[in-house]
Amino acid sequence: MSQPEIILAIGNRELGEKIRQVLAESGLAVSDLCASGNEALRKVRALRPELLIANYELPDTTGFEVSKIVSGNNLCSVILLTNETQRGYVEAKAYDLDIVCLNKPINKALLLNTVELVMRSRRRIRKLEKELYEMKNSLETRKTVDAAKSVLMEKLGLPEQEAYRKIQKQSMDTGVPMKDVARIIIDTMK
Amino acid sequence: MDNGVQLMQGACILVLGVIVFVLECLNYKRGVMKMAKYTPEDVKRRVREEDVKFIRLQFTDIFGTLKNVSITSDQLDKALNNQCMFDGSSIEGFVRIEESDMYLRPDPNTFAVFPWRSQSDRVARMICDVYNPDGTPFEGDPRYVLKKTLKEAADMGYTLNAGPECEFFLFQVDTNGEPTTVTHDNAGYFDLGPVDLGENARRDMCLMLEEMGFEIEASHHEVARGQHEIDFKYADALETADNIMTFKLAVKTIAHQHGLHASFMPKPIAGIAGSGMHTNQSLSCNGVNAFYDPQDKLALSGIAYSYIAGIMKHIKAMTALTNPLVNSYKRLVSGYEAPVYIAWSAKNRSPLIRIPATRGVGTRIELRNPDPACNPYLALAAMLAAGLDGIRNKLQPAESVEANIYKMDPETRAKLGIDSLPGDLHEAIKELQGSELMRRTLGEHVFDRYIEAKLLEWEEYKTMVHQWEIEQYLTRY
Repeated sequence: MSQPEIILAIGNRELGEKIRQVLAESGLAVSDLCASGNEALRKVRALRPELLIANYELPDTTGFEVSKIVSGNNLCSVILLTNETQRGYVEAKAYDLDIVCLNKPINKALLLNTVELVMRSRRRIRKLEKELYEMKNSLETRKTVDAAKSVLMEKLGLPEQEAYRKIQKQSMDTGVPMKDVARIIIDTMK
Repeated sequence: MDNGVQLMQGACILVLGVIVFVLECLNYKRGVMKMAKYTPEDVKRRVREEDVKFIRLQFTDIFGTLKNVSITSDQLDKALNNQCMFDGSSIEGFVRIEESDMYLRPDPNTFAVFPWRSQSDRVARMICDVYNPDGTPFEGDPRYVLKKTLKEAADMGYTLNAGPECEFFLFQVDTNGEPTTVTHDNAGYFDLGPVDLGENARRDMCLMLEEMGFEIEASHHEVARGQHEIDFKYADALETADNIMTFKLAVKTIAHQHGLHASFMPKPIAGIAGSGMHTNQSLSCNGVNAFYDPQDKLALSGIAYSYIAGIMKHIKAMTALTNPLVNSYKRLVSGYEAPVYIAWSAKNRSPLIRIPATRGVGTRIELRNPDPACNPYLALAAMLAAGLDGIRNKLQPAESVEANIYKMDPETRAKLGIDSLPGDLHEAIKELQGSELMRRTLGEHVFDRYIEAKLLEWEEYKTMVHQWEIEQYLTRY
């Protein structure tokens, strides 16, 4: 399996480097260490990593603001480094967002465990999302094809089988997906 | 006895019948209303259904800055009953401290839920009119100024359709969260080859605006580095002015979510093109485009010619409104496709007023000097008032100029009677000061406050020592 990409957003260079090293020792590659929240946002959007680890305190904004944007737009998973109070606040305010809080001081084993866990659940969710998308898509196709079929049956007086065959053949001949062929039939003949 | 019972039964049936009828009527009415626009009831329902926690009551100060009072959804009834109050004296250019209580009257038609995907609580907004405690509209409210002018047009039988083309820059934000003038496209530190980093942000902006009900007609990278343009569909003038305010807010919010700063400053960087807000406008009369006349050689009606003439007559006076900053006049120089001279053309792209090639329902004129820093309510009111003045007095514009005016020498320009726009904010304010039409359009209150504040702005600029002076003179003298 390919290595996950991780971006760190930590104002304190020393802490950032330390975390980078801990992750590196376990074979986790950090693609970038950002000094500010705005920089992190730009890099997350451009590089599309799998995980962002952000400190709650950042020089320009808070890690929570950045996390809300990243998580709300479903850009990647987020681990937010907090203290106990901040954690309580985040969990109360953003319970429906995919933000995992990790209290400081950071324990090496806990950090690695959390990263592992977040990555694993992310992959699972990705898989489910993909399946959901495919199912939605095929349902949509079926609905559209059915509608086009009844248009053909009504306007051309074709039996159901033949109407379906017509759409299918048109799709195969032109290399256009059946859904699109059906759409065109509905738009032009209705 | 029997008779009595029967009578009672009859009465009961009658009453029931009436109740059913009334309910039917109510239902019918609600159905029709929903098709039209939002009622306060619709707003309450949507707030409930979409679990909105906060509602922002928005209005605009006379300098075009969006202001808002935030209320929780529990206060919605109070707001819809026009009982939300604020301290007007704290708003720049509003009122003195003695008369500070003002009321907000939300316009339910402007209800929209913010689509930004970064908030833990759902937030919605309504644009408001500002009222005095005695229930009269506050004459310092720009939205009222526009409404007043629209009413004037309606009395003459016209409605104004306007469509802006808003340009803006996307800049990077530095480590301390301060915006820079480093554009996102040429920042070398982040080279990812051909990816236009601004494009992602722009795409998100379009998607969000569409979710808020905008119809986006085009969006593209502009001439300068880091410069973008998003065009949305024209609407009647009040809606367009509301839309421009919403547009700026949305663009800034999404830019922020991309770690960028969106600036509508007219000329942020010397030597490259500035940001304008070309404004397409047309009048319609009973649903028919009043600017279109197939008989004319340019297919423009007499009304259109008079409207153009009116704008050209008053353009110098309204420039202080359409181009409100010291910086605005650094855009209005030759060499960057921004207009300098007062002329119109159906072919040429460089003059002040251009007639786009579309005819029929799409017949319109495009005023090219406004910039996005303007207060859209006041700017649209000024344009409309000038145009209506042209129609009322049946003015005729000078001949259209098809040649490149920038290449003419001053004598030729003088011979053709081509005047130029005010060269700086001070000149523009002086022109505004002398205009009776603008005084009437803006109303005494806005007129006086606006000029007072802009003169102050000019004074401040004039007395400041600028970087350019240091660079030019410090070592030389």
